[in-house]
Amino acid sequence: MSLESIGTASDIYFTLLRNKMIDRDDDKIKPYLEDASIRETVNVLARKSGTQILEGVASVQMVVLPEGSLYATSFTHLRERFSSFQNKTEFNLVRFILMIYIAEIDSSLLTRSLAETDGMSFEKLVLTVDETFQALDENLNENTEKNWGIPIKQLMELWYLKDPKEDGKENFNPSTKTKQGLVLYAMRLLESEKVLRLFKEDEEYIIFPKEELYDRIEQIFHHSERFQHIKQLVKEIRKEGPHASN
Amino acid sequence: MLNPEIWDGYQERKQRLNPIFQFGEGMVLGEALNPYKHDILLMLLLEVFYRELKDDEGRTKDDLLLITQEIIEKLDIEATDQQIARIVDGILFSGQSNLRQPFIGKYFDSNKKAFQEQKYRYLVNDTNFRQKKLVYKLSDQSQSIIFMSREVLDELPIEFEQLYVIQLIRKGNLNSALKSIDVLLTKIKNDIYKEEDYRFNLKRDPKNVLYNARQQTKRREDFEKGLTERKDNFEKMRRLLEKLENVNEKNKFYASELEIRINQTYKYNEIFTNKVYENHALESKIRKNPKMLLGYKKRKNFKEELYENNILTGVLSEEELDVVLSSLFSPKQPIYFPFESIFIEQELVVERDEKLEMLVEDEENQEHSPRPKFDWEKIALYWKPIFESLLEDGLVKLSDIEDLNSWTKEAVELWVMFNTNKETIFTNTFKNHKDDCLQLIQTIVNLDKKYADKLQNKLFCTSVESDKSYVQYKGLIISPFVLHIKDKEGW
Repeated sequence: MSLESIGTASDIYFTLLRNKMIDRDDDKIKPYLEDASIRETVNVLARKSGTQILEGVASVQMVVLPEGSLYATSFTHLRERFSSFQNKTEFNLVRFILMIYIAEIDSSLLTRSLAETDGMSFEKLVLTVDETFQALDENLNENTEKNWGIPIKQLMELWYLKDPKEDGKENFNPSTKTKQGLVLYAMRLLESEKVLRLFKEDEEYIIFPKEELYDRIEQIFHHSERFQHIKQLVKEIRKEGPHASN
Repeated sequence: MLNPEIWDGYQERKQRLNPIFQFGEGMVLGEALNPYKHDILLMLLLEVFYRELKDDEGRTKDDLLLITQEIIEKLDIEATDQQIARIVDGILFSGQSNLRQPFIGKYFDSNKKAFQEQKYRYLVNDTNFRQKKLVYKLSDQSQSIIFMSREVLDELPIEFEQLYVIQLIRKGNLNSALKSIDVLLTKIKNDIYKEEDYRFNLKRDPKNVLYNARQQTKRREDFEKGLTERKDNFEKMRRLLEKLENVNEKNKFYASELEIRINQTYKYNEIFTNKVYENHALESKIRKNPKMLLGYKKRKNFKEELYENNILTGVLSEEELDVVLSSLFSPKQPIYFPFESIFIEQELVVERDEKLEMLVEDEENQEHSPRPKFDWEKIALYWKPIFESLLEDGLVKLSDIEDLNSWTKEAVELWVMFNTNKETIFTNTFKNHKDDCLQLIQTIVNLDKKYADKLQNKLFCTSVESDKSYVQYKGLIISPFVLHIKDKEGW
C-alpha cells in the first residue's frame, strides 16, 4: 500500500473524528467509497481506536464501539457529571428518556414515521414517559421488582414528583428540576451529535430526528451482527455484574 | 339492493372529501365567531398558498397568527388573542395543540368491509426550510380544497394546463391566464416534491424501487416526451405576450405580472428537469454498484427485541443500558497537549473559564435587565407633529424644529436612534416592539388609528444636512439630521 493512500485514509479518519460524519455527496469521502484498500485502512484505524464506521444513507459516520473506546463521548462526559450518588437516579431518568425516544421513533427506514415528518413535541414525549411508567407500575410487585437492574421504584417516584415544567418560565435550560428539563438534557445530547434538530414554536420545543439518527439506529440496532455483539456484551456484563446473584 | 357502482372508487372519494367535511370542525370559538370560521380558515389557507407560490418564507406559526389577525380586521369582526391562537392551532393540529396530532378521518373500505382511518393535515412542514426554521405549507389535501373550489381538474397534465394558459393569452384574457399560471406553478412544484420523495425512497430502498422496472421506463418516457413540449410552450407564451396589441392600462399591469410569473414557472420547470436527471444518475449509479442494492433490509428491531423484551421487563442494569446507548455516540475529538505543558495549560484553562463565566453572567444580566421604561405616550406628543409634516413633505429637518429645547431628552435621542438604525421598516403588529423607533411609531398609531394605513410598510431613513454644522440641544451637539419617509417597494 502506498504512502499516499495511507495519507488519504488517515485524512478521512481524522475528518470523521473531528466532524462525526461526512456527507455522502462530499468529495472528501469519495476515495473511501470507491477504493477498497482505503476503505479497509480507515476501518482498521477505527477498530484499533475502539470506533466503527457506519455507511448510512445520508452520510458516513463514526461512532464508538459499545464496549468503550479510546475516546470519550458527550454521553460519557455527562455520565461523569452525574456520577455522585444522589444524582444517579436522575441520570437513570435521562437514560430512560433516551431509550423511550429511540423506541418511539424506531420504525423501518422504508416508511417515514410521523415522528420524522411532523416532529414530536416535548409535551408528547413527557406524556409517553408518563404512560410507560404507568404501564410498568401496574405490573410491578415484589417479585418483579427484584428483576430490575436499576432501582425502578425510586426512578418512578422521582419522575412523578417533578412538575412538567417550571411555572412562569419561558426559556428553560437543561435541568433536573422539571420533566421537560430532563427531556431537554437528553435531547441536547443527541443534538450535539448532530443527529436531531430542536425547533421552538410557542415556547415549546419540537424534536425532528435527522436522517443520520435513523442511519445510526438502522446500522447498529437493526444490523444483525452488531446487534448480536451488543446482546453478547450485555450478557457478559450480567455474568460479572453486581446483580448477577438475582 | 344497493347499486354496486357506488363502491367504485368509494374509498378515494371519501378520503378526498374527509378534509372538507372536517374543515374547521371541533373548533369552538364562541357564538360570535363560529359563523365566520370557515371564511377565516379558507383565507388563511389561500394566503399560505400564495405565499408559497411567491417563495415567501413568512409561513411560520407566528406569521400564521399575524395573517389571521389581519384577516379578522379585514372582515371587521372582533376576536381575542386566544381565539386567534385557537384558530391557528385548530388548522395546524387536531385536539390539544402541544401534542401535534394529525386529523383523523374515517372511510369505509368496501373490500375489507370495515372502516379504516386516514391521517392527514392541512398544513405540513416545508422541508425546504428544515435547516433553519419551521415553515408550513399546504398539504395535498388542502391543495385539493383550493383547487376544487375553483373547479380546476387536478388530473390535467402540465402540458394541457400550459395550452390553456396560451389560449387565454391569445384571447387577451390576461387576468384568467394569471390565475391559471398559478395552478401550473403549483403542479410543477408538486412534481418537484414528488421527485424528491422518489429520491428519498430510492436511497432507502433501492431494491424495491428499481424492481418496478416497467413503472420506471414509463415514467421516463412520459417525462422525455413532455420535456421539449413544455419548453416550447413556455417560449410560445413569451412570444404571445410580446406580440400583444392594443393593450389598455389595466391589461398592461396583468401583462407585466404575467411575464414575471411565466419566468418564475419556467425557472421551476428547470429545477424539476434537473431533479429528474439527478435521479436518473442516481439510478444508474445504484445499478452499477450492486452493493448498494443489498443495502437496507430490516433484520432486527430495536423496539421489539431490546426495548420491549429487555428494558421494559427491567432486566437491564445501568452498565447494560450504557452499552446500548453509548454505541449511538460519536467520539469527541481529544485535545492534544505537549506533555510538559499540560499542567500550565490546565491552570490557564481554569482561569479562562472563570473569566468566561463572569463575562457570560454579565451578558445575561444585561439581557434580562428590563429596558428603561419610557413614557411613550409623552414622547409621542412631541413626535406627532413631526410625523404629520413627514407625511406631507416626505422629510423633516431637525434644524427646523424651533421648540427643540422644550423636548425631553428621550424624545430627542430618538433622532439619533433613527440614524443608528439606518433603515426602519414599520409593520403594524399591535404589540410592543423591541426597537425604540418602531415602538415610537407603534405608539403614534395606537393613539390615532388614521396613521395605521399611512405608515404601514413605510421605510424611514436619515441623512445629514451638508450646509449646517450642528444643532444644539441643552448644551449637547447633534448632527443636523433629516428624517425621510419612503415606500418600502420603491426602495
